Amino acid sequence: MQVKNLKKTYKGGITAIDDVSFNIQKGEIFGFLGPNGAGKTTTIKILTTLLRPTSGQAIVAGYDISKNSNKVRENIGIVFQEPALDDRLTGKENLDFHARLYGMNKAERKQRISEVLELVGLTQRADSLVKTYSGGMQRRLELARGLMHKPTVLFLDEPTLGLDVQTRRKIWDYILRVKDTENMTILLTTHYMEEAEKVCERIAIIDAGKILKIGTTAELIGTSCGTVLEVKTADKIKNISGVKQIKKNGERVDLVVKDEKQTTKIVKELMNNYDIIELNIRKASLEDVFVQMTGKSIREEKPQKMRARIPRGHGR
Amino acid sequence: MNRNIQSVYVMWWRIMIRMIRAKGRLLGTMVQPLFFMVAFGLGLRGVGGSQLNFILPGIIAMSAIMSSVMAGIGVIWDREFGFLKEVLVAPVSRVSVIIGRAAGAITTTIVQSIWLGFIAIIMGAEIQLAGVIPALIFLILTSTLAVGIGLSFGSIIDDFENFQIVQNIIIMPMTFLSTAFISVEFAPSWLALIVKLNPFSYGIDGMRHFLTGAGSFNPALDLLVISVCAALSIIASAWFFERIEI
Ligand SMILES: Nc1ncnc2c1ncn2[C@@H]1O[C@H](COP(=O)(O)OP(=O)(O)O)[C@@H](O)[C@H]1O
Ligand SMILES: [Mg+2]
Repeated sequence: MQVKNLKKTYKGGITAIDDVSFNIQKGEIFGFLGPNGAGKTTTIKILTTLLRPTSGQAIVAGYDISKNSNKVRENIGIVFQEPALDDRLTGKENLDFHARLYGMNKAERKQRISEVLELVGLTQRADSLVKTYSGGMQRRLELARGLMHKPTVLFLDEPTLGLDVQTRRKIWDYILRVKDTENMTILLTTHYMEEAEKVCERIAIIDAGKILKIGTTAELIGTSCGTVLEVKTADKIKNISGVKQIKKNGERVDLVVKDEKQTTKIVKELMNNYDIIELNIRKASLEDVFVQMTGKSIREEKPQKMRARIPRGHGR
Repeated sequence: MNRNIQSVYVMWWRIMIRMIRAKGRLLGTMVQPLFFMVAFGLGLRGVGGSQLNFILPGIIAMSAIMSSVMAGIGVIWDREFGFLKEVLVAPVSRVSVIIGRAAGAITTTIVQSIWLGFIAIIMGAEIQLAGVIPALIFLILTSTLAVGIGLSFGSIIDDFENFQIVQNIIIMPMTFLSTAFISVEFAPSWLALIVKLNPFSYGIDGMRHFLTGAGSFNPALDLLVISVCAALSIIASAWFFERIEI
């Protein structure tokens, strides 16, 4: 996948993404990490041909999204951020609907439907109406549907948003298992740090419509911060050489150290000059990198609500 | 190609399944027009057969137009509940999606109209059995025009309130200011002109011509006007649907 200078300005004049460029290798899991409103969904909508970019180009699964959108559509699978199931159909009917749109014949449909249902553990509930499914089950069904036609590129927009920890873990298990067996390229978005860190081979940090940095977790952490010293003290800590950033973190103060090798030196200096109540040394995480780059925490925002607005006064 | 035919079929199939499962709404489309038929039918009983023959096909046509336009609500529903995305990213032509949707709405309308036709016969309308097939063709064309209008507005509009406004200020007048309830022979000339400018008038007149022998226009003209307008409305709806961005 090659994305070059993608830009999208919505009708109201909001520029959701600006000059977004990146490449994804075949078979790679690539993550988009950023807070709500960063432009992750907009990027995915453009790459999946739901939205036309204002400017820029992209090649997805080997085809140009603007010139050859039908070929792109044939080769991609998507799990949208918001539910996209027909809840008045059963799980199996949703899958069958999908399979027909992707031109699968009867035998293929039958086989593949039972395969993907098995994979996401929904075989037992295949014939229940989707409206009787829990949020996690719906998510798993959507994942199964995204995999039905064996796409070469899979898009996952916040696949675990709003789910409990257990279900989240389960869904990632499925995704990783599938990735291994079917050798897909995966582009996913998330604002859960741990997920991004654990699952993605490379990550793009995106904020306010711009990509700030792309790299492996190690690279991202390595280039901007090495270790973090969490210090509890009554004193006010002044600048120490080697400390890249000092920020308040509740009762404590976090000192971000850029070069790991300087950690010992800085700890000594702290011990000598301040009255330290508590000191905790840890390796910097993506969260720290994120704060470092954007000046804000990714966790500040609450998750968006899952369901679309339900209109009043209309029976279905 | 195969995929696009599947797409027409599966869109139609989904609408059928949903209709059958939504028992309440199904009952509504079948029962609600009965009130009109009973009110008009019994109310006009004293007036004689010719009035009934005029008014009952009119009520069937009105119900058909109303239920066909509802196809547009389906698009808005799918947009609201996200399912539209599933359809829009599929590798099928959007025209095939529109045709499938239209076929679903038209099927529903045909079922409703046949049922109302039976009631009309029971109530004393004199229907020419030989004319039923051509009348059905006119019904389908009338329904197609209404479906095309509904789907066009459903693709442009993204909320229910605005769709209701369209129903009230465009569809309702088009239904009532047509040959459904107005006879061009007896209406004042300005009103007759409005009726003649309304494409629905020709579909309804064609139906009435074959069902009861009491048409006002030449049936060939009826067929020409309603066919062209039905085709244009479907083309328009495909055009608007093609341009949906989410
Ligand atoms: N349909 C739309 N019309 C106008 N603005 C939009 C639309 N969709 C998203 N936006 C705006 O674009 C920006 C990026 O949104 P989005 O891509 O959904 O971000 P993310 O998925 O990272 O949370 C936000 O400021 C959002 O308000
Ligand atoms: Mg999003």
